Amino acid sequence: MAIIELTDRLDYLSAHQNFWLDGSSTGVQGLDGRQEVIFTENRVWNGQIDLVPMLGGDKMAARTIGTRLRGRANRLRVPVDNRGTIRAIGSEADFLKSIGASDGDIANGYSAFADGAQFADGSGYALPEFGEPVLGQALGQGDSLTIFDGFVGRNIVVGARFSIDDFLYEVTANTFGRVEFSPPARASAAKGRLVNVSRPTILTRLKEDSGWRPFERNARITEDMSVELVEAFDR
Amino acid sequence: MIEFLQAQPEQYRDQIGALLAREAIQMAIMLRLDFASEPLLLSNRNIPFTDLKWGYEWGAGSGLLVGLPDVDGGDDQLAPFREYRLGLPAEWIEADNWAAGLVQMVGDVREYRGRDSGLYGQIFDPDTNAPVGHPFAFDVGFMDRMRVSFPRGGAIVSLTTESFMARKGVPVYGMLTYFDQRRREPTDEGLQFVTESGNIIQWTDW
Repeated sequence: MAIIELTDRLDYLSAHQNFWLDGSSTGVQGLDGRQEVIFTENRVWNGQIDLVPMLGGDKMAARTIGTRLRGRANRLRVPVDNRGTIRAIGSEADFLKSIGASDGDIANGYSAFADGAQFADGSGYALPEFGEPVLGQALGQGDSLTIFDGFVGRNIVVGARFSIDDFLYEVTANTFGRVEFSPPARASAAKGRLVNVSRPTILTRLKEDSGWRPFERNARITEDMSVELVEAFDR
Repeated sequence: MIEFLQAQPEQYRDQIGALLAREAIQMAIMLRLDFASEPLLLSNRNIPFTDLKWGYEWGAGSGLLVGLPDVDGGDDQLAPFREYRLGLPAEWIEADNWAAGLVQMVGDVREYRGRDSGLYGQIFDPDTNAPVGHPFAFDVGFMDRMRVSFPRGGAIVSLTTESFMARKGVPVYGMLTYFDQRRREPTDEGLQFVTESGNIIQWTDW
């Protein structure tokens, strides 16, 4: 079925965006009060985005997304906010500035020694590469450990998210690019595959058929809207 | 518990024993339905895994398994059967005529009747998410009847399976008549006048 994009504009109008990884377990409590918990790997991402009141074109865009989603039938691709880790957004100079490179270094294209000295041939240290990381090894379905190649990937912060093929993952440990993540890989991916760190995406469905309902007050402005989402697995 | 562990390969016994002694146990439930065209291997995990006994990959039908029966048994059970509930296969939603396709699937009894079914469990190491030891059976039996119902906005396939513990030939409704007895014991005339006297004999516990 069709994939509907949550436009950048509407994403910008999202006041809050949350994604949680929820699973379910079963179990019993013994007479001594101790519990036995039986669980399995059935965690899925549940999300909630809260949209602010919208006018004009934004209101129309919100309206049509609801229509095109057709309840739970179609999927919504949501860009996930990944503030808190280094992201390759904007121009290369903006990126370098954001990670603390000096204007001089950015203009030169390399950084020199602390005292300004350069290598004998007049060059210096390469600046961090701009762009998304790639997988340094093939990723198998069910893996929860991989290698990220690239400055943004090697320095990804624990707790940050990334996505591969619209499947969302969260970093649980990172040793200079040796990244552990959760949930286990939903699908395999080849070595060299681009990893989406700067702007991860996730494919979702509405949690309820009538989950996307902008209420238009006096036919002009929509009210605050909260949308609940669940992860979609079809690709 | 000892019997359970002895059924596992020797190299896994200690590890399984330790895992089962924990407060939180990672366990998957798997269902195998041996359809003639292609066996269906499902699990309640959302990523597939390969078991260490047969090397099957479990869990291909994401979201298909929607309901499991209570598995029970014992000497007061005449013919225990299980009913599994399968949801609408996701890939069918897009088909124009999925309802007709589903009815056709259910109508094709050669595809499933009398073929194997099994409900299994598998212990996992919660730290590595990897299966430990071999799958163990909760219930094995034959697929018997399949029904499809169309609640509003969807479809549910109910599959009845008959356990190996079913006692074939037990009289229907648990009552024994003269004719039942003659079929089983051709020379026994003991129940000859039972129906005429108006008494119904309750089938005994055996």
